[in-house]
Amino acid sequence: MDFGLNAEQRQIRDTVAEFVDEEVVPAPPRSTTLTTTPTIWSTRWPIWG
Amino acid sequence: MADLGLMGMPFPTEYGGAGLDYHSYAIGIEEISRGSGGLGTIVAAHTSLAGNMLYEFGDEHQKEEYLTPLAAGDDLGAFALSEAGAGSDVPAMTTTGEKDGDEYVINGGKLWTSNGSVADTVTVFAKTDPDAGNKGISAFVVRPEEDDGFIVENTEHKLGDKGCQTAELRFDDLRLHEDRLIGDEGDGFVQALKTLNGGRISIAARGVGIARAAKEAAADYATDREQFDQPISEFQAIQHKLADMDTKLQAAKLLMHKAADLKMRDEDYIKEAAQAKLYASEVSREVANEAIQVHGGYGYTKDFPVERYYRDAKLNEIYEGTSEVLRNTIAQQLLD
Repeated sequence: MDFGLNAEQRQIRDTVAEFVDEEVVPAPPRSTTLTTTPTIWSTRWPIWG
Repeated sequence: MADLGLMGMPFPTEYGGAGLDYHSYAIGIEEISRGSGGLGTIVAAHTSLAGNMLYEFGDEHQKEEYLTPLAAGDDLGAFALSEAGAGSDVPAMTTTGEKDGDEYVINGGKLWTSNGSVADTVTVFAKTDPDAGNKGISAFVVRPEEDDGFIVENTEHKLGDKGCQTAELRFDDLRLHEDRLIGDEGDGFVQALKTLNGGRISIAARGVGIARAAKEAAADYATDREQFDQPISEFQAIQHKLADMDTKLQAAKLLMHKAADLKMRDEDYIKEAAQAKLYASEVSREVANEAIQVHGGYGYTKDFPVERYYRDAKLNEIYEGTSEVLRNTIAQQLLD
């Protein structure tokens, strides 16, 4: 059994993926480069600070 | 979505569908669910359940009148089977369909109906012969906007899958002309089982899509997040998590395509569809759980999407055949 997608199936995947990325996936999270711990952490949950 | 043909992916173009094969349909549901598990449920219930009931068992008039607008995306479909006292035990249903001349009078109610409060066409199961057990159940086409006695009692407040409306329905002397009967009287139970069997491929696809989203989010976060002066992706503990997440995901995806392949070849696929749905459901929950773990405290907040993936994934283990029922199905197939 061959599970590789043919050209038509790949095209369908790419078309749906493009639609989903543009229309469905919510906006990115508040930060994608979290190199420091936000101040709010130490006030909301001192045990983590 | 209708313009892209996403509301009728597996149905022939003559009925308004996109005419896609089942691999492509599964890929479509996978991609949609990668963006939103709720939207994945909406499309899967609309297509695999409501649409397939009409495509597989409806007469030509029903296909033209009800399936075509569903497949074209003009209408939305729902499949009303479960009841308060009849979940996995389908024959325990108490909704009745009493024959009265050339009409059926439907009384009773349904629970957990995905799209039920917003659907244009609902396939409803009722007992037309309450003494006949499995063989006394029949399926009907119901049009909520046209048929008096169709009442939306409630929509559920759920843990996840919040993009999809899950409705409690009540039927109060809902009168349907006999041309709304799908197939023959008494065929409803077998129709439901066959429809749910095909639907399991799309629910497996939903699980694969959610697991992909969770894995990709975890990998992105691990690359960005620094602790002890290096990205956490440099730690072997995180690398092993990502490796396990992807390995499980790829195995689930292969099971999904194997079931789709058998369906396309018109071969028996009951066991494989159950295995695909069972495994992909558990994997989606496990991968989403690990994605939260990779995110640490941030993963437990709504600032990142991984908590949503976890909540959406959990449903996979419950609807359209619980994991326990699926294990029963697989074991029966092995022992028959």
